Order: sequence, then C-alpha cells, then structure tokens
Amino acid sequence: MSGRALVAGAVLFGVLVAGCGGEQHRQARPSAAGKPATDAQVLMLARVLESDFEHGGSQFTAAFQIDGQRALATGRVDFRSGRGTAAVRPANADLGPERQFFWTRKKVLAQAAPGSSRYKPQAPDPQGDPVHALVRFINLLSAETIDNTANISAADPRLIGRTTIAGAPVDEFRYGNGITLWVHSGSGLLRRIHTSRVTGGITVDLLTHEPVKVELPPAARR
Amino acid sequence: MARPRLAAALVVAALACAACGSGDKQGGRNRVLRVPGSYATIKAAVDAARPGDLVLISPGVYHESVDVGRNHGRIVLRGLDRNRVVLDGQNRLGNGIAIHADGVAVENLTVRRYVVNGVVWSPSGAADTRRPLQGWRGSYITAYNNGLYGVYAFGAQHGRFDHVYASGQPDSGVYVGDCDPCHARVRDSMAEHNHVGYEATNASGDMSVSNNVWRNNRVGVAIDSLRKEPGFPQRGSELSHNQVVDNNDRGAPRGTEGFGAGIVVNGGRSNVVADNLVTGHSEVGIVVLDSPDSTATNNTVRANRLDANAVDLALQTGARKSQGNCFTANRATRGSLRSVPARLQALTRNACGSSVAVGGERLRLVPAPPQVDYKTVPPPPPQPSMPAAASAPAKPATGTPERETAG
Repeated sequence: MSGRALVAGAVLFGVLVAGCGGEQHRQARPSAAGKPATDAQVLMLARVLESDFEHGGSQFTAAFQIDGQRALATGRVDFRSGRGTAAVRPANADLGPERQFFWTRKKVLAQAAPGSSRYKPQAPDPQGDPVHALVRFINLLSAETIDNTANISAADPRLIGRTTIAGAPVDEFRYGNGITLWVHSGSGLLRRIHTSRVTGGITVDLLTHEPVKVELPPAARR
Repeated sequence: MARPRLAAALVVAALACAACGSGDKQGGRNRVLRVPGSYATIKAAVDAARPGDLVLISPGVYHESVDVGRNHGRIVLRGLDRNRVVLDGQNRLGNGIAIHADGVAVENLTVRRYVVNGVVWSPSGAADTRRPLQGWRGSYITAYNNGLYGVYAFGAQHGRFDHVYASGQPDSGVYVGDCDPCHARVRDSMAEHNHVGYEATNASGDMSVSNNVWRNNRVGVAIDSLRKEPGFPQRGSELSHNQVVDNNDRGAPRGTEGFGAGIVVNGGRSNVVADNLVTGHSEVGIVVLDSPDSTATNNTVRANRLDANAVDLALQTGARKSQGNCFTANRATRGSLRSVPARLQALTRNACGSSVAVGGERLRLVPAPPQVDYKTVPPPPPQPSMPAAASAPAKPATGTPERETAG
C-alpha cells in the first residue's frame, strides 16, 4: 500500500496545486477577473476530470518549456491505465530532434536517442525534469470520482468568458492560483488547461475524449 | 369603553399573527418553521430562518439541494423521522445540504443520491480569505450512495458527528478535515460499503473518534497528512474504542486505491490509536506509514485487540527507524501478533517518542478489486431515529458542541 492509496477525491484540487512544490491551498490568491462561478458552473468543473476518466483517454497536444526554450508534445493518454506516450520536440526545430517518451503511473521511459528503439526507465522527477512535470500534469487530468465542490469553490473559480477553440464554443474559467480551464460549453468536457505554476507554464489541449490504448515499447514491458 | 377593548383585541391579534406565515411560536423568540406545512421547500424555510430557529421537516422525499448561507447561522434542520424524511438528489443534484454558516445542526434525516456530498459543512469564499466555521453538528443522519462523501466537515471547528450512518460513498462515509485545533468528536456512528469508513485529512488537535463501527469498507479508517490540502501537517488526534472490522468489501465503490486495511495513519504525527477492536483485514489491521509528503512520527498504537488480520501491526517508514512511533500493549485475541517488520511491538514498546532501529520489511500489496458503481450499492436498512424529534427543543451547534452528550 502506498500513501497515495488512501487519498481519494480532491483531484482537481490536486491539479490546482500540481507543480507548486509545497505551497498550500490557503496561499491561493483570488483572481479579480471575470465573474464568480455559479453553483452550476462549480458542479460542472467538479465533473471535468471524472468525465475524462469515463471517456477513457485522449489524443493531446501540449506546450511547455525545457531549459527556457518552448517545447511541444503530441501524444495520447489512457486515463484508465495511467499510460501515455508523447513525441516531444523543440518548437524551434533547429534546436534538436524529436524524442519519444512513454509512461506508466510508476515510471517514465525515455528514448535512449532520437530514432532509437531502446528506452531508458526513469524514476518520476516532476520537480526536476520538465517532461516529467508534463507527464504528471497530464496524469492528473482524470479521476475516478467527481471532485469536491467545496474544494473547487475554495479556489475562487471565475468565468472569464466564452470563446472558441477550433470553432467549438468553450467557457474559460480561471482559478485564483494560476490554473485556467476551457470547457466545452455543451458537453462540459475539458478542452484545454493551462497552469502557470510550473516554470514557463504548461498548456495541454485534449483533442479527443475516447478510449485509448498505449502499448509500451517491447523492451520496457518486462 | 368599547374602544380600549377593541384596541386591546387588535394588539392581541397582532401579536398572534407575528408568527403567522413562518410556522409556530415556540417559547421565546425561537420559532419552528415547518416543511412543507409553512414552507414548500427546505430551502425556503432555511432562507426565512433566524438564529435559534428549528426547521422541522415532515416525512417526504425532497428533491432539492439546500444551501445554508452565512447569514443563516445557529439554526437546526431536523427531520421528524430519520428514515422517512429523505433528501434525494436523483444522481443529478450536487450536495444534499451545504452549510456555510456557524452553529448549524442537522438532525434525523436521510440524504441520498447526490453527485457530490450528502451533508457538508465548509466555509464559503476563497481559501485564503475565509475563516473556519465555528460550531457544527450532524446527528442521526443517514447518508448513502452519494458521489463523494456522506457527511463532511472541512475547515470547521467545535463540532460533532454522532449517530451517523453512511454507506455507498466512493470516498469516505464520514470525513473531517482542515482544522487545527479541531475541537471535534465523532461518536456512535457507523460506516460501511464506502471506500473509506472514516477519513480525516489534516485534522489536528482535540480530535477524538470513539465508539464507532467502521466495517465492510475497502479501508476502515484513514488519518492523512497531506501537503496538497490546507492544514498540513496533521497531528494530535485520538482514535479509541472503535470496532474496525472486515474492511475488505469488494462491493464497495473506490475512490482510488487501497484495500483490506483497518486503520491507516498516513504520515500523521502524535496520534493515539488505542483500545480498538481490529479484525478481519486481508492486508493489515493497523499500519503507520509515511505519506508522500510527511514522515509519520511519534504515533502511539496501544492496547488494541487484533484478530484474523493478514498482518496485525505494521510500520512502513522509509528510514528503517521507528521515528518515535510505538506499538505497545496490543494483543491478539487468538494466537500471536503478526507484524511487519517482525517483532515490531517488542522493538518499539518502550520507545514512544524516541527512535529505534526496525527492519525494512514491506507489506505485501493487495490488489484493489475493480470499481463498483456507487449508485448500485444496496440501500441501508432503517436506522434508529433521534428521541423525541417532534418535541425536543432546538439546540444549534453553538458554544462547544463537542463537549455535549450525544442524543
């Protein structure tokens, strides 16, 4: 049994503090922008991660920073198993080639060299490794249970406004502590999430909500 | 002569009507607001209530979420019949009763099928600007098949759960969190078929849980110290004289992982686990372990009776040291104690508050059974109602409700 084994619920809350390196919830600062979320909107926000889990997985893109340079990731994640894979590359292609990563809940597998079929297992290090921080953030985007509206409300959620992503209407919500979510106006599904609580920020776009299967590279299955 | 009489009559009539439209006068200033007699909904009665009032709810099924705002403190919500006054969220409404005011007591009713919590006490507003609620009480509440917690007190001091029954929640049946000092009691309650029977995260100081039954959950009791929630680190609670039995229920819904454990002290400090009966667990009876954020230190596990657990006692700290945790005077009701590491009690019984070497043996992990839809957990049997629900005076949760005698 791990310590995590007994920690249920409060999952979006976990996302809210992800990457915070020990800051506590009370240190959140309310955002003055937008309107306070209504009870119905808070309930919708409480459901988003559960909905991700119920749908199974997602194709995604992500933007984040590695050593001060903008990096991009394209991949897929199986929220049910906690497995995922992503191709990571610098936004400026001149800075380096693409590299493939896989992950489970317990380890990250990094391609030994670009194009290689060998993968090196790495112990999770979300505080020290930007790719691991991205993996951790993605892994926190689903939950077997609904989140607690009490925790959502305590994070001072605000409706910033309505916009579109890829032509679809989304409602933009912002928490007082650096998390912004874009939620499909009709379905309530999470479309995009951004955290500024990691150096350089992380933005993840969930392009689909569907079952996803991720096979680990053969050498890593043992 | 006629005019004074008429005037006097008008005065009397005016006084008599002072209570009209809001229920019955009940001595002094406190009123009884009847639902649905005087108010069509519980929420309407709450919105009309003033400090000291009793919202008295007749048998029926109420499909509403009741929000008790901060301006409606020091009131009592009471059902006339615990089993026949039912708030039903129909698996679409958020919380059954959400209380954001001081001194509110909820008594003698059932909350079921809400997608978040059954009954929740928590301060309103952003976490960094709010103050803890002062005074809370939940008595004779039945909470089942809610989407997260049955009864939940968070960021609240001076309170009590008593005679609560909770089942079918994928998180915990009964929860207390984020309080320091809590000045809180959990008494005479039962939780079964939940992921966790009783859970307390970052609940510190004058926090006592005794004379309850936590059985047939996935995990019986979890005392957590977690950095990601306010109030970290946890310390100083007492868990005593509880029956913690057979918490390996494959029919209970799950929140995350964890299965087959009786009492888990997860990273806490200076807690006392004493005089409990802990039996029938497929992984471990009582375990003290480090949380991801906190080393478990100076916890005392004392004089518990253990039986039929795969492992009775376990200490799972990273340093192979006891870290001030001690296991003393615990006994197996049959045979000898089984511990991980071996000889745990012999090594630590005289080391409360000091650190001695213990082995690094780890518990065998028990795989968590598949998820169960919480909506499908069978409803509980009828539960005992509070005495004299129709006539007992309203006692809002003011002062030190934790010190009052339950019932």
